[in-house]
Amino acid sequence: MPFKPNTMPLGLAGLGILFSSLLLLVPGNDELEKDAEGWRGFAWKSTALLIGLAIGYALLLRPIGFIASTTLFIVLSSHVLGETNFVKSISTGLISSGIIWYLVDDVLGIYLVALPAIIGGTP
Amino acid sequence: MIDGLLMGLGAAISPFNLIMVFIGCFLGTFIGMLPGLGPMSIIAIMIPIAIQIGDPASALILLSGVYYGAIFGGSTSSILINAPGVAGTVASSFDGYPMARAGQAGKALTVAAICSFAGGTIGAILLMIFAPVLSTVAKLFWSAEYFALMVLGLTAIAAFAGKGKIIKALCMTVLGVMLATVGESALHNAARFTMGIMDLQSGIYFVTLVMGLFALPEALFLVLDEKRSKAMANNNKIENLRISKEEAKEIAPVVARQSLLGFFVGVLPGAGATMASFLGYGIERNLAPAGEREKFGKGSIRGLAAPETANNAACTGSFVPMLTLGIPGSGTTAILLGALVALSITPGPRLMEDQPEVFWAVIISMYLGNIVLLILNLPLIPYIAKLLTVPRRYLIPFVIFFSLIGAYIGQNNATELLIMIGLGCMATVLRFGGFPLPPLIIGFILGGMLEDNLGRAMRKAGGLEFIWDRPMTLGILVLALALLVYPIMKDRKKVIRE
Repeated sequence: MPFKPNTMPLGLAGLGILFSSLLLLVPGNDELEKDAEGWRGFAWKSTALLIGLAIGYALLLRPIGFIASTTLFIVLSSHVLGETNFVKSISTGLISSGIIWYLVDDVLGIYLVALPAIIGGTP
Repeated sequence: MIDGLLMGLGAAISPFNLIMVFIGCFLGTFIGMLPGLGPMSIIAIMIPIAIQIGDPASALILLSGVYYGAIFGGSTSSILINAPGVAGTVASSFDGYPMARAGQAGKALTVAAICSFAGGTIGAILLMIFAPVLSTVAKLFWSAEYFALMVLGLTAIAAFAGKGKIIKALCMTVLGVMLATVGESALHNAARFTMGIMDLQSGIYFVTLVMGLFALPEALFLVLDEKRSKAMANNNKIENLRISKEEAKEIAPVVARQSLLGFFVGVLPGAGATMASFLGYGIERNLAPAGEREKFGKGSIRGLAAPETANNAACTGSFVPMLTLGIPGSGTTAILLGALVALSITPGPRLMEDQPEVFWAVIISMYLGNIVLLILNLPLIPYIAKLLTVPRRYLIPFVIFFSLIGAYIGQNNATELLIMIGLGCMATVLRFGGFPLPPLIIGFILGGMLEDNLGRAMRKAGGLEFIWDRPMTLGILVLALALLVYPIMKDRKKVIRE
């Protein structure tokens, strides 16, 4: 029997089918129902907003640069979680992103685009 | 062994490496205190930096410092706010948190620091003695046996599962191996499951996976479960750091027993610090005199010393299969294994012969890590807890930010971030469903090696004949099957009885 690129995926698919079927058929796996009860009263809206902000961060990191995108992410996500003072959140975002950019890019030598492309950043 | 130790000392004790171990312990302790960033995530964050350092010995010394620091940092948040960031420190909160609530937070942290030091140091001595023996045995292994060992590692991972979760753990393990098949395999040039995305050609980056599976869901859970994260806002008084002579006498035999037990549990692939800490806690509770036994769970100093020692000794023990066989004994060593591969080091039986300076430098770095951790943390105990008072509205964004940037700086690729967020959402849903995530990451890390060794063994034997042609392969596979079937049968019996 030759070993091909699809040998492993096919074998894994078989095992996946077997274990998933066992999960459904074997008694005593009632945690799902119990856990479903615990879903109530959770902060779903804030969580969805944070996930959205993380996606936005991923999309904006290169076009607008590390410092602007990180500051924006820290400011907006801290406001989602209850911060009301913009001066505090903006200064926290700016100072922390500046320090981290300096440590990563300058000290450790891992390239991070700092500024938006239109004012000199090279994505 | 003495030559090796001297070689390790030569490699490890340079001003640069001493700075590395200090930085590692310092960063590990501070970041490890943040729930959501356990040793796994912190090491993952530090890997790109370690790779930049270039010299494998210095990089490993940094990572060892981070590892020990992170374990101690995790215990700190367990003790102070009852929020263990990782499973391995859950048992420390059983008695550590009641001690902290009773105004003995400082003493509890001191016990944790000293027991971690003792467990880690005794573990490192045991590692020095046993690793070369295991390494000699390991040289008898060929690709067929390696394949069988990987299977054994995967099935033993079910130990992460807990009661009634064996099938869920197996599903996660298979999912992890499946994710490892994305991209080109080492034996073929055919791209698999890339969906036309060029960035997936080389597979899923393991830091992205780790961040997506651990750090991001932890942060999302803190947002979802406001009660839990608001508990972090509690202020904790840290006074009275001293341990009395009577208390020292009380914990000394506990430390001795749990260092040994923890180390050997840690050596077993898949067992790790969590199992060692729970086992240690249970054993010490049974061994304690009747009066003391009642105190367990209410602030017993033995109840804190046992899991703290066992947990650290197990962490050191898990380095044995990683260094000598290339099999991670825990989720964290699975990530360290990835780091070693990224540093062009192939862990396994040849490591001691091919790169002895790296092997011994790792062992010396463990001593150094433990000593530096103690020197650094005892005076800092009153101050380090202040980090936990970072308001939730900033703590969570920073946890998410650090996980995103950890994945980004490794590949300098924004697609990684989107993959990570997708994985994070998937992991959050899986956590709700009670699916354990460590088996997934170990499946992922072992998956690539499993496929390579299976492919080589099958090519050599012309099929699956190698399984019954080689007695050692068959023996290991039978053991793996037994480890797989036994908990299922035990579970079923219990369900039927109930």
